[in-house]
Amino acid sequence: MISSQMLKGTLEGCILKVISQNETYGYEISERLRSYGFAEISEGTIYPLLLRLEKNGLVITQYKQSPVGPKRKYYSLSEKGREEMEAFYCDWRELTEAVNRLFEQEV
Amino acid sequence: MNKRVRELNRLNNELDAKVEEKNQEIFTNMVCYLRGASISPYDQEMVRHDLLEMILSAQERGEELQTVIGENYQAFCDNIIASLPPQTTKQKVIDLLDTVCACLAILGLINIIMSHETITLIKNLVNGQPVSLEIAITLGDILAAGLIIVFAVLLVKSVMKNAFREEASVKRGMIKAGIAGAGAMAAFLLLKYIGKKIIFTVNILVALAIVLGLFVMHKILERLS
Repeated sequence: MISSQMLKGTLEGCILKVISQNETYGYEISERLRSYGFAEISEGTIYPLLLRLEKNGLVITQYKQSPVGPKRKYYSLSEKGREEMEAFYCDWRELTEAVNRLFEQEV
Repeated sequence: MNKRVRELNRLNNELDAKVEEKNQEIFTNMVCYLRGASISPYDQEMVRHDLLEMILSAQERGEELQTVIGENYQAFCDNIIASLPPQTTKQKVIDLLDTVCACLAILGLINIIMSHETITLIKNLVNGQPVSLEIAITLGDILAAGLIIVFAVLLVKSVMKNAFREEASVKRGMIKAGIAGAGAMAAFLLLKYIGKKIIFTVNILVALAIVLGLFVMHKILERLS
């Protein structure tokens, strides 16, 4: 299981990536993340992050009717969100390469 | 509460009825806690709507609330609050003025209806005797109104802030509230005793116009908040 401290900095970028694939909603995002190996990521974990992404203009939201009654919030990526996602992935690759170099050298 | 918030509030109240009994307490506690946070009324209703969608969808899938939200509901709510824009100073001032106007309108009306002068006025009208339209406002009336407003605001804030407290802690809180209530009652009785000094008199029709004005002001501020 990935530690929550480590997840903190990366989850927003990963959520942006999931949203970039197609317009989606909270529960579906959490399920998709789980399918990629992000264990124990519930809808409740990502909801505050989605609010923050919305507040910062990285995602665009739209309410659509759901089968259970209340309207469901759907998220799509804004242009700013796409730039943020690309910047995150650049940073992530730089970080993983540095960590890999360090560990491979040690071995 | 403006039209947009009122509409969302009405919709959320309808959806509330669909929340299963086992989830009601947790949901009520979360909404209560969010109501006490420094976020706009629209954001409060928007989050309430999103939570309702989460809970009703989980019920539909046959999942427990803990699976969807996690076990620490207060931490979940704190994360939500931290993700939303805080109320501006202007919004806070409008909210406070709104509360004060609403409280003063209600207390003013009660004071007019229950006052000794109003009862005498009605008796004299029935008996066909000369009537006086003047009402005396005492120091006690003014201090009691101030005390009631402060006490009511603090009580409501305390209930919202402590929505997730455990049962043992709630019992201790109730004892503290009981002591505070007894203290407030003693203060009211003291004010009644020492506050008999008449500060000014006012015509009953003017007093009613002031009460109406305060109520209108409350309605205007409510729409602005």
